[in-house]
Amino acid sequence: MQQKRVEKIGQIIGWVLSTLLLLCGLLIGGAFVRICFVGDGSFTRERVTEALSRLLPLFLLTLLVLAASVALQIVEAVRFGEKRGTVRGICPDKAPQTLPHRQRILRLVLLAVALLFILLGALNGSMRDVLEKAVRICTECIGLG
Amino acid sequence: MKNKHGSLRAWLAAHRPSKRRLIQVYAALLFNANLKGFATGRIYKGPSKLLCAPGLNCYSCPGATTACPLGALQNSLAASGARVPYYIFGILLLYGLLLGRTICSFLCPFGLLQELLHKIKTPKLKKNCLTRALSYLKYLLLAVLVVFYPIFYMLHDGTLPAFCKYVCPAGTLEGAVALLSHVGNSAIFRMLGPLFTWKFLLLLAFVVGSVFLYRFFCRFFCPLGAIYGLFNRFCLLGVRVEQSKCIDCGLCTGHCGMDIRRVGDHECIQCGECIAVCPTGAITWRGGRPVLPASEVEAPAEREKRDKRHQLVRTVISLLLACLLLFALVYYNFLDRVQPGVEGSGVYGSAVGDLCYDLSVPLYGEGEECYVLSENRGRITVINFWGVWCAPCKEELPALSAIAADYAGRATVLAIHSSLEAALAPGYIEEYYPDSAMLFGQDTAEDAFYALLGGRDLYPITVVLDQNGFVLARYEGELDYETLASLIEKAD
Repeated sequence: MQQKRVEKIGQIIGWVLSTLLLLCGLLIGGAFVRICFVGDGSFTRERVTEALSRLLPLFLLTLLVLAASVALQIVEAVRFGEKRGTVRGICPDKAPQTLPHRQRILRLVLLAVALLFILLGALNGSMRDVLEKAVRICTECIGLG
Repeated sequence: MKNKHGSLRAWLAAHRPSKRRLIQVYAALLFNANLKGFATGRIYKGPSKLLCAPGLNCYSCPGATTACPLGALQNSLAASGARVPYYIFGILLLYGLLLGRTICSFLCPFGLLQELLHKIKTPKLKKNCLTRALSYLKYLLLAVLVVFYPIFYMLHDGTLPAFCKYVCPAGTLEGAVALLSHVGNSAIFRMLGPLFTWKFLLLLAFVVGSVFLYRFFCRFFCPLGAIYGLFNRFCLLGVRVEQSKCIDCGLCTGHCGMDIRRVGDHECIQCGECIAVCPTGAITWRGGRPVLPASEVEAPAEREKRDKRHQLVRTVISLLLACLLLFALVYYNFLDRVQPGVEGSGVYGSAVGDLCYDLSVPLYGEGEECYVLSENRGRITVINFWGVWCAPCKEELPALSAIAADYAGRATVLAIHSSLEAALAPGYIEEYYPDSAMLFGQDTAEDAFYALLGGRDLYPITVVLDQNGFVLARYEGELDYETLASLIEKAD
């Protein structure tokens, strides 16, 4: 009974965090769209940096809470002796095959690193490098240089 | 009549495109939504090119609305001396973790082309241990052409996106062929040489190969597939095998056109075609839930409720995606603002025979000197637009410098650097042309001089003015000493 309650709480926390993460992503995407497509259209590093720095605290907070949630699930699994990664129950034909916990944590960490790199890229100018190369014809790339 | 309709309906049902095919076409259209680029022969230059398309899609394609991840990676590595390429690393990591090689089967326009070519009715070459061994070639191409060469050349003050330059068929097809097929780009034909011949032959080889071998380029040559394949075990979306149901019959690996050892390995493009073939239903899609616990125990009634919920979510997502494509098509082709440029008075122009605009070009060096065209009448002026990031531009600079020295009494050579990487220009000039008779100028932040003299996204371009400031000749691409010398002799 207690195990089911803890599982339920874990699920609710997971849904809330997933929604927060989605909202954060939408906010960042919305800020990007606003800078690039609305207004006078001038895309400057300062504007991007300013927008991202406003969103960064919320984003970092979400990541921290996500990490805490993952830690909580590990604690939960250890506490109730649950076999990590699989549960066999009422419906044996639905026995799922999921990644081991370690790999799921690794995936989360890499996801966070990816988002951090994108942020760092926006701040150090490598994002702008991509834009500036992409708006010019690369004569070498198309066999003309 | 009824039979005809019945058979037509049956034919349509039998030949209805699969969901995966529809998604592939959708993605190809979304990443190339700038359809007016094909009509104008110009590439899109807007801010959405900050984003990278997940699949192989050359950004020199007139229709491309996003950057290519492989081209961006090579260019970023080539510029890694100045800054760490965090952005492209983050993008590749994100795409790999979210989708892995699902990108290859659902979102890559070049993958779609190969699959369509493979539908041509010919005998097909089956996969074997040789093709399996050859599938590792793409990792070698990734290491050597995509990573090593750009970094090596960067360390030697050069620029070489080696894979794009020597191999990539997407650039040849979507970039070169698409640009060359527009009449306004006829000057580009002059730039065709051995490199284009090589790349075109390679493109033909990939096209013909795709007819006989399933996804010929993807399996053996695509470095992007090699990168995404590394994430196949971790990615959120893809196929999974339920070991409790799997009977090791091998039908899945036998049916698959890729060189997989098992479903979901680094060669698997997660297309899901094996799901229908599995006799026990052991292969399913995994949606991936990074946070929620692994347990999926549920009663049939709950399963039905979940299925209805999923159906609703699928409908909403489909509607949103359709709106996104519609918005992209309308925005890029009708609402996007015309590229800002400097307006001419109608008297001036950049075509041969026009009186050239009177430019006041700031020069590199100490002081705030400017080269004003109107103050330098009586001399032939050779105006060249270049950039330190442009290898052909740097290759023709010695010829321009020699012209400036040999014709110092009659002609002025003015090399105007683009706004891209302008900070690197003074160092480059100081190192390689400290005593050159050539003048080095800088373009405005929006490359206004380049646009004013008719630049069409291509570098280098050279404009030759006679003694009265009229445009004598325009060239796009690399020029040699003899051509310029003969022009100057003719003008005199």
